[in-house]
Amino acid sequence: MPRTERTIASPTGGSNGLVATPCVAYLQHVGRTALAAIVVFASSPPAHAQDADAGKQVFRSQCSICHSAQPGRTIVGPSLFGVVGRHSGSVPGFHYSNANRQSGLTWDPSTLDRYLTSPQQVVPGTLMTFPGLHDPKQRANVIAFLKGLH
Amino acid sequence: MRRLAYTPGIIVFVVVLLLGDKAHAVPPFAMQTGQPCTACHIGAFGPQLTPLGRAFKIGGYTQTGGQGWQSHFPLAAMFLGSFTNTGQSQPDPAAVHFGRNNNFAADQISLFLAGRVTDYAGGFVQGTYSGIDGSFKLDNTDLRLTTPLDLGDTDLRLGLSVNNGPTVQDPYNSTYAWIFPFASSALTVTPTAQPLLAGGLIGNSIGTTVYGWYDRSLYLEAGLYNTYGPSLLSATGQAYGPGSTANPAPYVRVAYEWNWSGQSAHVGGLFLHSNFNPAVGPFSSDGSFGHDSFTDYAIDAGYQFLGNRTYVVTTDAILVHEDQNLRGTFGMGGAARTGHSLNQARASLSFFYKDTYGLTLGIENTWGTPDPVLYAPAPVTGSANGKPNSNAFIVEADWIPFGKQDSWAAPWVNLKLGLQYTLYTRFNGGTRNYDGFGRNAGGNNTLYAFAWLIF
Repeated sequence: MPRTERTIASPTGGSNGLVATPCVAYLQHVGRTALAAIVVFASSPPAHAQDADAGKQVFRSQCSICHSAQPGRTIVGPSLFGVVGRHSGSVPGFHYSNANRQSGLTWDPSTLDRYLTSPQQVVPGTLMTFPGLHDPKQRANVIAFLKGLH
Repeated sequence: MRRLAYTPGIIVFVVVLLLGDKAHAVPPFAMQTGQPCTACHIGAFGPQLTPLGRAFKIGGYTQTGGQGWQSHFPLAAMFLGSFTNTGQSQPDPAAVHFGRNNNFAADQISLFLAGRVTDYAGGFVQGTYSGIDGSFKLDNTDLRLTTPLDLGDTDLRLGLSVNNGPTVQDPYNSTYAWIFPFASSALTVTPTAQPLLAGGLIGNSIGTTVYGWYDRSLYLEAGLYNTYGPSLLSATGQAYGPGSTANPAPYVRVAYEWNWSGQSAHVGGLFLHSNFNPAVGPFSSDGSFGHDSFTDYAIDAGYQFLGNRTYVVTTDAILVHEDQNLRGTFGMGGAARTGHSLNQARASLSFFYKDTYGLTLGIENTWGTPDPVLYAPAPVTGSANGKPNSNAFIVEADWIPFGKQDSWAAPWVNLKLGLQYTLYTRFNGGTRNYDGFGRNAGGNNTLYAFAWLIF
């Protein structure tokens, strides 16, 4: 899947051949500012339009069989409430695999995107047997939904 | 007198059918979900369901995740072969073409059709050829329609199941269709008296139930069952148990479950009531003397420690009380009185190491009101003192070399090798000369070695 960094790298494009008029300079300034905002906002999220509502549907059909969106609620896996930004293996009382506990990951959007693509490859030995979401758009949407769980 | 001679045979036949045909993990589900059998089954083979397995079943077998054509391939096959030894040889051959003891058998060859149809529909159908009697029958069948309802912070899963027996559709491991022992010899003798829930309507009836699963905790289900007509019985290789239903038999199931870190528990209750025209043959019944009615009340519970799946411990139990009004059987001279009760308690404790090595202990205790006619003396299957009381201890050791995520040819090749021993301390009311013809309860102690292959 195309990563965010690659996607946003393209429009920056280096020199565009324009003469640096004030207007152009202003536009360049605005562009840089906007770009900075995009980089800050999407330093990790996948490069797809994110639809949290659609992500909720993905969550319900693919994730909720094992994970709750409610705080502190364990079903098969740990609650995903507040998962974005959380360190791996850190929900108190949950029986993690050694692999997950020792992975040293932080579940930022970028890491979540990689993990959700193929959990077993990112954390070999994880107890999460889910084979992964192979549709980048679904991943982007579900991560958008997870980001709202705070 | 024909009725007297026939009844025990029917009951034993039904019990044999019940005990021998529990379906297990099937590769199509693994391919459909993209997950190994261990995700949904204890011991990699089942049929014990993990919390994820329960959710998959309640969700109508619709969960996806697999890729490629394999994820849409709905067929699987099963072979069960065994060796049976009983403490004492039976007076007659255990079955046609078999000896009185020490029998090797190809117990079952099954074909499964299983999988998701749409986001809202899925099913499981098992057809089984019996190598014991050479018959083919429609085995466990469960077809579902389900949909989730979003209730904000939580959800409600609603569903409808069309299935062929009470508890076939049940998601918990403490009800009869799925309780230990998961495989038993069809060439030995089992206690005559069994409550209706234990299988009197399994395989020979069709039921429609509706269910709701609220917040992944509260499970409610209700439905009605009717036995097949004679033609359908014959076509599906089944036979009447206690008889043909005189009217639809109501079934109610309530359960509540908890899941927390690597552990799961549930408690529940079941109700089943049925009025029968008593069976007088495999495909015939006679209600001219009145109906037999059975009302079963059961409570059940279970607990699983899954941890990180290195060490897994499970325990399940069910206690059934049955009220019987045998007016029809009494009218035909098959019972000394109409009012009876029957109770049964079953429990099991299993331990699995790395989903590969398993040890399970089980107990089955049955007791009820005596009746010298209903439980009359007869060689092997009868009772000398007219009591239904039996007590059995079961121990089983399992080795599952194939069936795990990293197994050879996973998930298409699944093999379980088991050694099971059943010890009877009481059988059909007695310990020594329990049948009135000199047979002891220990004579029915059974060693059952089996090889179970699903591919």
